[in-house]
Amino acid sequence: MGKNRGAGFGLLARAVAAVAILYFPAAASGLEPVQLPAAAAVVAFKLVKQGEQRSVTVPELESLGLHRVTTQSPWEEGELTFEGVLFSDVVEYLGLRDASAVRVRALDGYVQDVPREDWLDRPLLLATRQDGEPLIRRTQGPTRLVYPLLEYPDYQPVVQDPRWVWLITTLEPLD
Amino acid sequence: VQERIQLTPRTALKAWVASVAAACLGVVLSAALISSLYQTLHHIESVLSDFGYFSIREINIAINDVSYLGHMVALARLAPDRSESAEHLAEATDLVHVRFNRQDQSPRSRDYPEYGAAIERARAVVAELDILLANGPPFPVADLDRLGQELASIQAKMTEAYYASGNATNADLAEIQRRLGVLNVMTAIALSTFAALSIIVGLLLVSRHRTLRAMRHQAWSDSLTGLNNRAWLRANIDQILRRAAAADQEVWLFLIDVDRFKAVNDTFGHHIGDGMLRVVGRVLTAVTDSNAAYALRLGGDEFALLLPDSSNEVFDRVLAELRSGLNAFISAEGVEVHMSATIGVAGFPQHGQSLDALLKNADFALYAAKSQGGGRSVVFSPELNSQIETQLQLDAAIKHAVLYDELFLVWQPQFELASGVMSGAEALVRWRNPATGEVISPAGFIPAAEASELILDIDRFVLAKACRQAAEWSALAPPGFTFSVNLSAKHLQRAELANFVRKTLEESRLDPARLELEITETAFIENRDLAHGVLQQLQALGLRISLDDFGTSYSSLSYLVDLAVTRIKIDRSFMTNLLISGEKQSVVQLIMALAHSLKLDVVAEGVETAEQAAFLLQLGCRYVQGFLLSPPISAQELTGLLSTGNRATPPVIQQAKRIMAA
Repeated sequence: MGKNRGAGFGLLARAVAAVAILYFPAAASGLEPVQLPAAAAVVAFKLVKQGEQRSVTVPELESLGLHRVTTQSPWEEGELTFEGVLFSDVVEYLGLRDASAVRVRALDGYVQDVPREDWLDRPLLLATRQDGEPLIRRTQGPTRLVYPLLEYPDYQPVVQDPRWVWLITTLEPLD
Repeated sequence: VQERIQLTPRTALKAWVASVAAACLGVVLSAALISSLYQTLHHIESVLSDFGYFSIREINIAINDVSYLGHMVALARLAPDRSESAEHLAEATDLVHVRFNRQDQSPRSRDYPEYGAAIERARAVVAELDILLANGPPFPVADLDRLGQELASIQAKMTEAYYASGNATNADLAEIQRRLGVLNVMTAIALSTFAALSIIVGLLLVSRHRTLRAMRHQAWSDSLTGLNNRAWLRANIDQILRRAAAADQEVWLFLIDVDRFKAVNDTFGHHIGDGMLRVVGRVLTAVTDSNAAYALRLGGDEFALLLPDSSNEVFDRVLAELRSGLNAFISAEGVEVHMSATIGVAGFPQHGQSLDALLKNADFALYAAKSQGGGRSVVFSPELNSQIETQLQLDAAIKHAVLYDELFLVWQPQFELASGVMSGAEALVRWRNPATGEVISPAGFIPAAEASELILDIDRFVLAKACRQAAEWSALAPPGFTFSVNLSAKHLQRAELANFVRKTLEESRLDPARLELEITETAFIENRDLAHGVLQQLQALGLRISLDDFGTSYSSLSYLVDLAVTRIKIDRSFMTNLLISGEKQSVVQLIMALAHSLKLDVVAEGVETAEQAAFLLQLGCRYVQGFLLSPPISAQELTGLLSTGNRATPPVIQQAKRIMAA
């Protein structure tokens, strides 16, 4: 469920916050490469491309290079640390470079279309682990999308909060 | 005289109160609008996060998860020992676990007690299922039944919360819609007010601009003629002179004075006078239009023309245009008035470096032109200056003489030719300088006085004094004995003359029949109708009128017919060489014939010889006067003559009679 953002937060305070963000951007990205022991060979999700399906495994993804980020989440309390691969690397790897967006489906039937700006302009993370531990179904795995909020100064909660998809089952490129 | 718009304290206070009231209204209106705007936006913002995804959809997903788990429990109840059942149950449990144990719950969802309670109950179900799943199939059917009922109950509670949330959101939307409607109205009012204020301010600015322009116009121009005024001259002369000095050019100042303006104004009224001034204004405007000049009305009948940067030709042309334009007949309301103007000119830089110097010298020139008789133009020169200084000194001296009684009268006796008896006396004025005791004859100061208004004062003095003395002599003088007093032609241009004469007669108690006023023909040249009217009033008083200096100036004989002039006085110039000049004799004969036919008495002036007297006697001239007959005598002498009854015939007349007899 959504956090209590904005409500009861005056216009003036908003404006001051906006100015503060413009003038004092976060110095550190919070996103850094990381080496971890290899994960078990489980299926991460299915790629649906031109009517064909193919399974993509977690080690296959992690071979693209792991990154770690510590960020707040609109959906959970506190600072969370995730490890995973850059979504731009995944798109490149899966040959979805020309897609205008990627349709992401979750186990509970949840669907979101993630537009290319989200991964081209900023480091969108496809997390495979949390606190170093591989994500499982119980922990919203095997993969989930994480927006490192410090990297997204123009992050729009209303539009982008829903794109935090977890329990991902399939990816499908859109024209 | 320029009107000035003044801000009185009262109007200032009114303006201040109005401004403050308008400002308060503006502030209140703005505050109301801003407050409404802020409240509306704040409300929208505060409920925004509860819309769509953040509230209703989240609850919807939660319901889906619970519903799915309920289905999986039901499936496991049908096949409690199947491993597929366990797998499905595990998956559905994980989804509910993720939803209720891992996800943060929005405060809005927690606002619904049903939903809040459902969270805890769902977590409890998950915990129980975790234990069942850990033990593996077959699952106890009773537990599954109970869990299935629990999940159905949770789902029902959450559905209630779902609809309640939807209704609340709808209410929020309706409220926002209402507030936006109010905001629209407020904005419309504010914008209308703003537009109205803008228009008002715009109109005020325009009217202020117009007022300023009108005030500037009013301050710098004359309302009657539309010409620039003295203030304009003061404001602009420096620049004009500076520019001329820089370009090494001359600037000419023409001072223009309308002749006899006061008389016209007094006689015909202000409307005719104003008409005259307007004509002058038009003439000046025409001159300035055809030449690069500035026309001004300095006040009253005083005009000016400022001609910068001019050649001799331009100067001559402008002067000619002014003289011809200002010498005109003006007819208004059936009255035809001859207008003429006198012009005094001074030039920058030769006649003055400043406006005041230029005005002073142009005024000198004007004064000089006036003394020469008006209708002329004179350009200032330094010699003129000394001339005028002399004139001014003389004027001042005459003024002093009138004021301090330095003038006195002598009397020139007149004789009846036939009887040789003294028949009257003419009052002549003399001026004794109290310092030197020197006596000045009229020729020394009367012409100067004639040039100004001083002659009026002198005449009044003479008339009053003559009447007083004549009244004393009335008892002594024989019947028919008249006392003559000279009156300047200027008096006949003044309507108040008759009044003054009447008052003087009353005060002195002189019989009007004893008084003879001597006027000259020039009195009729200037303004005939006016002079005519004044003469009629004088006649009505019962006194006599004689025409002085007859035959010397322009004579229109018609007034001799129109007016009951009692006597005419043949000018002394006819007496010199009378006996050797056939022409003079003819003229005198003609005058005599005219007088006879009009039944007028004749007085011959300047009769000095017996031959002259004999000639006049022969022609039937009744009266004579002359230095040799009797020089002017003092009042005491005349008193003596009258009281002793001395009627001695002057020797000249006795001789003349002998000549006649021979």
